[in-house]
Amino acid sequence: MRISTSQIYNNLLTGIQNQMEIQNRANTQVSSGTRFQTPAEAGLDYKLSLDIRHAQTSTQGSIDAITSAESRLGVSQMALADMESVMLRSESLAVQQTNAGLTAQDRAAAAIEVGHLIDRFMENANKTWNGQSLFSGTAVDKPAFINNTFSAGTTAYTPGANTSITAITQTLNPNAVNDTYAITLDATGTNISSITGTAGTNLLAAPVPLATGANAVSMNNGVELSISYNGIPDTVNQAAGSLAVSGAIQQGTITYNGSNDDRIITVTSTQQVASNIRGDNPGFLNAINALQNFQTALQANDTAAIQTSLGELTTAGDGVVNLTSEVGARLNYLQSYRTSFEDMKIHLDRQLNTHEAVDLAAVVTELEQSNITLQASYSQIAKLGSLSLVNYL
Amino acid sequence: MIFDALSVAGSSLKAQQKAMDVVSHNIANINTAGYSRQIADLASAAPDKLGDLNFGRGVNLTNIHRITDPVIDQAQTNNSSQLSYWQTVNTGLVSVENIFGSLQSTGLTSSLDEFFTSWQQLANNPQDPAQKINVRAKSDAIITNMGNMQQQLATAQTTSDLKINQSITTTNQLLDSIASLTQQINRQEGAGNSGVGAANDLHDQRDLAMRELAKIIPVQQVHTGDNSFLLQTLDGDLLVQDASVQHLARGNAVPGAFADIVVAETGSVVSGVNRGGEIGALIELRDNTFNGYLNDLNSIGANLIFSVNQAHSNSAPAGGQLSTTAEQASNGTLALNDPAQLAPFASQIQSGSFKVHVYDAAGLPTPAGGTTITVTAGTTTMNDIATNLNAVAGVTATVDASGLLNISAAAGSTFALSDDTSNTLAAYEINSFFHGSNATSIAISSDIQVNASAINTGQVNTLTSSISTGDNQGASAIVALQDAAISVDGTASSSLHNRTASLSTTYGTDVSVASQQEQYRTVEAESLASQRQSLSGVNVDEELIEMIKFQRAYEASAKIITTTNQMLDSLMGLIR
Repeated sequence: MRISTSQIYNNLLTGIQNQMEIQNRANTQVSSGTRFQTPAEAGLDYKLSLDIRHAQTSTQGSIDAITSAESRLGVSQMALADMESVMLRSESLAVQQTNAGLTAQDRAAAAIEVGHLIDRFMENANKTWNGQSLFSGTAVDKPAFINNTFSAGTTAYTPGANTSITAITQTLNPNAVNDTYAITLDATGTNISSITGTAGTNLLAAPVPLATGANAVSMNNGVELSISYNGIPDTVNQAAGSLAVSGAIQQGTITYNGSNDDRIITVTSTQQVASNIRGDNPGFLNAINALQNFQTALQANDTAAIQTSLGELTTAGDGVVNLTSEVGARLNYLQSYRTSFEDMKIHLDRQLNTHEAVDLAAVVTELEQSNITLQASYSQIAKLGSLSLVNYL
Repeated sequence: MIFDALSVAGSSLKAQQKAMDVVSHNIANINTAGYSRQIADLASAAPDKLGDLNFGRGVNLTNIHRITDPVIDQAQTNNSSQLSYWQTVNTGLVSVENIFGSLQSTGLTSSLDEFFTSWQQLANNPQDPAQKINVRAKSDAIITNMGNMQQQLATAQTTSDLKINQSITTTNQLLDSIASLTQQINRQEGAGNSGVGAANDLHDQRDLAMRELAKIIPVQQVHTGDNSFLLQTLDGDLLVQDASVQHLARGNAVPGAFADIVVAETGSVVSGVNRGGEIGALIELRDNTFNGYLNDLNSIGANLIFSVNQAHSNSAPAGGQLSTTAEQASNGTLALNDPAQLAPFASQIQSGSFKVHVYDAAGLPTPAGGTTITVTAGTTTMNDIATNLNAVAGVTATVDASGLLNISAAAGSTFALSDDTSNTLAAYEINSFFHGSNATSIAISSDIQVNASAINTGQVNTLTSSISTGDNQGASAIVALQDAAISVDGTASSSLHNRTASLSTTYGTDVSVASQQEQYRTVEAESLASQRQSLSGVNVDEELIEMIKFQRAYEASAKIITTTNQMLDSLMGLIR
């Protein structure tokens, strides 16, 4: 093949440019430590890098989410553990207070301690963490339990044959209950012979005289009705009518104030876990009621009731233990979940490194080969100047 | 007879001298682009017949011809178009490389990941105002990222279009040059020349100009029977016929599109210019590559906006809200999904309903469970929605002069919206998170821009109407979008992550193809250049040897003259 002078130089120049490209690429790889940096260098590899990084971000988000759930449940567990010790102390007290040798004074002193235990239990039940109520479900801005003040609720009176009894209301009602009462007068129309709740039991210990105007009637369930009577007591028949009471709340009762929804932690875009124990779990109110009943029994120096309370406290204590166990189980579940995500994180880190990291030995070898080739090319160009017929003519 | 020897030697002196001129011309042009080495054709002169003998009359320079191969020339012209095409595509792609990110900063993909991570953090701490500020900040970042990408791609499109104008100017200069050279060639060679006396250098210059032209637009030289010169586009549009030129120009501007390339003299659209060369590459970049990226980016924007708005408009702040105003206007008398509605996602509206829940001053729902507002696609108008809302005690609704629906709670009341199965709330951006229709127009809704606490995280309980501070159903619904396959714009259903990652991959693949093609065409160009050099290039050693040959011949001829002269002197001595 015939070779022109330009051809010789052009070929050398092309070779040098190729070697310089190799040097440039290798230098970039060595300095960055990665095989590629941009999608332009390796489109599909870059996509895999994005996918791995996306998975890394998601995994870290999942670990953070689990940490939040663990913190929330961890604090709940501590509160429940304290509630457990309250119940244990109450049970001990109940055992002690069943002793027939104790006096009313002793039991009154114990009732004071139980009052403190109730307060402590309530403190734990209404515990907040980071300003959020732990046991009120998603209603984190509300206390989980409230101690109710008296509420009479609303009353509706349906007159029977005796149309002269009007405007019956429920006023003083420390033990308010939502119920429907049938009010019956006696044959003379001068007395209320019975007031019966839906349970069908007469709530009057004895007939109550009926006077024109206001009548205050105390029933043996602690409810007091205020009855306004406009008739004349000797002209009425027996059928008096009925009273429905709704929305009434007893003074001193404790009720759940939170929501019925769990606090959900979003672990991944498709996986969610509950991070709380809700106060509407019967375990809480059973414990509170058992404590209150125990306190009442102590105040009344009622050994039979104290004996009953002991059983209630034992059952309620078991309920609190069950709640603690449930939290523990959830924490264990979250721990295994965390382990799985942490393993995945390590795997992803390794995968990313394997995928992106440059093979330094190979690159340095290539760089060295390129250096030698370049030096040879430069030397050859220098020699070409003297390799011409011009120099011999 | 002795004088014949002088005459023969004299012809040799002249011929060798001219041949030396050719050698000198070759060496002088050794580095001239497009130059083809030339050969002096020497031929013995016609003999004289004396008696039975034919006596040679010496030597003549009959022609100077250039060494070329039309096959290689044509291949180089074709290669010029393709190499230039892929070089321009590659350069164009590299110019937008930064917007697709790198491993150090993965751009839109990492913005999207951070956006959803911020929503996950908010979902897990819905009562935390700082998390809402974080969500807004991450949303701003994604909007900025999308805006930058959109702007740079749009700028790259415009730049490509402007470069076409520059290329057209260069094309017209080359066309004029080719026509001028053709005119000179014709003048020097005369019509119908048979190859003798060819204007070699002018041919080289015209070939070079054609190769330069082919770099800009793909051309073909048509060989005619009458030896005239004809240059066309690949689709047959005439560019040069001998000295006559058809210039290129830009056509009239078309709204929303780029102007065509036309023949300046006739105004007709030039065809075949997009099949190679710089202009073809610029058109490809402008209309397909960059436009494709923009479409993909806008699709990501549209899917992000509508899907997030669907989840957000179905969520509500704890305690309800006092008022809300739609951010997309409607024609109150047309059906909500009428094609004439300007709201970008009006077509997404389907038959269904949404609920409005009203709360009194104590925060109690009136009534619990809310009131259902029914939407019938193709029938229900925004005015109907306003009328139905006004029938709900505790809220008033109006469609203002701009066509925006405004819902307000009565004094002392609040309200919340939920359970939208009709997409009305999201389509008209009522209680929405984003505003806009695509990557170009995406923004955070004005309420949230003013106050991050307007970000909704919980949903209204559809039975009790309660909304809890710690409820995260709304935020979780947005987190769920991260890996969910979605499509609101007729594109193939795919997750937002896959869409953004695929955009980078598409770019990477485009660069890979362009680089590969450029490499292939470069190697091809080098090979063709080498072949041409091998045939047409000047070799100094070769020329010097030719020089020595001609020098020696010249010296020998001169010696003959000297010898002949001595012979004449001898002859003259005999006479004296």
